[in-house]
Amino acid sequence: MSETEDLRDDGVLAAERVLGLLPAEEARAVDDRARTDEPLAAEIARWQIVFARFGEAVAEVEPPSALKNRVEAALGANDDLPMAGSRARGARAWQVAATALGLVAVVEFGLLMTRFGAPPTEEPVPQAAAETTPPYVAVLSPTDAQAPVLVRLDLPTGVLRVDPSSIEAGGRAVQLWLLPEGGDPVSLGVLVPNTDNTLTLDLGPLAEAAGTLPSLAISLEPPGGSPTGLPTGPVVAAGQVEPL
Amino acid sequence: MTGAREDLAVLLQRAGARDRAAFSLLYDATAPRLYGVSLQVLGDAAEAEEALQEAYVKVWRYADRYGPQAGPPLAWLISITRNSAIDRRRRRRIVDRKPDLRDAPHGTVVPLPVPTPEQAILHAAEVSTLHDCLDMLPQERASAIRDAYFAGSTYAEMAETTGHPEGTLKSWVRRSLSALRDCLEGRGVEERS
Repeated sequence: MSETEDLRDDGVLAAERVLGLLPAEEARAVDDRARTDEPLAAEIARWQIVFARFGEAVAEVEPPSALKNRVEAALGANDDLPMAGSRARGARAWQVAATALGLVAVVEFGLLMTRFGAPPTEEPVPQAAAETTPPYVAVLSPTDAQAPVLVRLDLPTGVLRVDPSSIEAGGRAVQLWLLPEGGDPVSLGVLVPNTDNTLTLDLGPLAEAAGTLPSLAISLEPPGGSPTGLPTGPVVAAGQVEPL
Repeated sequence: MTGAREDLAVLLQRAGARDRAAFSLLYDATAPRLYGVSLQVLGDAAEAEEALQEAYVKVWRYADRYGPQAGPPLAWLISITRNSAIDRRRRRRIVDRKPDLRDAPHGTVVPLPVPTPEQAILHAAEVSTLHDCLDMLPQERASAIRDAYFAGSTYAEMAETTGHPEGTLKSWVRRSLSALRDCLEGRGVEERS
């Protein structure tokens, strides 16, 4: 045991993190530390690149040609969102979004930044982003071949916007769920199909999920919504909240 | 080959400047490779397509973080694809257990980070020696690391599938990773037993 621990320096720990071997709490602890521990962050980045070599050895497979169109359509859905490096295009949309959604305190959700694996000081902050802080988004990937659903979320105010037009509900209710880590799904409400829904959420469940990158999911339920308070129908899209 | 690699770096940079045409070329040049990776992780064409789509959306979103000094562009793209596919594979585990999400111990997902090669400052030689170094490990251990890369399973899940005690697995995986790291750093493989 002690010999095993001896062998576990940060290089090995970083490799374990990249491979995905660590249980959730340990993985998060590593991410936390990597925010300020530059050598550890560098080890994580290094192992990702080194292990990518496995991917280079995998046989190429031609994807269906329709996929490219879907990818480009998905980029389109992102085009009106502010993007570092696209100030000209993003500026106006950004102001609209900032007005509509309010500002987000990044400090509170600093944990989410670990998704990038880099201490923020490493990154030159684009001017536009320095003046404001981004909202959070979740791209809900469909479980079939529809376009993804984009959810924009302003955590401090609980204002959430989602347009489920791409979901073919077939007369069933389209219900949005928060999947808090290790807990029951929490209903965020039944969505109005084919329109841009703006919901103001009770921040209780979201606040509890703060710092743990909650996931969202959409399920199809009987008209009026799930009778049990938990998803009963097929989950048609799911994804994780992340900083924009 | 160097030419192709430089091209990818240029295309990534241009995509980072919101150049849709460059992104389109980047897609054409890399989609078969990345789809192969996604398929390897997910084992299902429809899911692999979804993960690949997610990956390219991330590439589009984060391309301006990529710099030509930062290591091989293909490795960066592969990491993003593999991580998207693994995140999806883990979500699938959650969704599969939907009726009893409440007691699903695997209902926790810590997404893998988008790689930041700015910090890696990798020497090409280091990357190219990975396979040499893996070859120096006992076969079973090398393939376990490869399997872990494409499965994203935790030690606990590995123990469940292989039937080996978790402690034993940890011990020899860490030994292998340590040996691998030493080899990559040019210290040679000293397989500790």
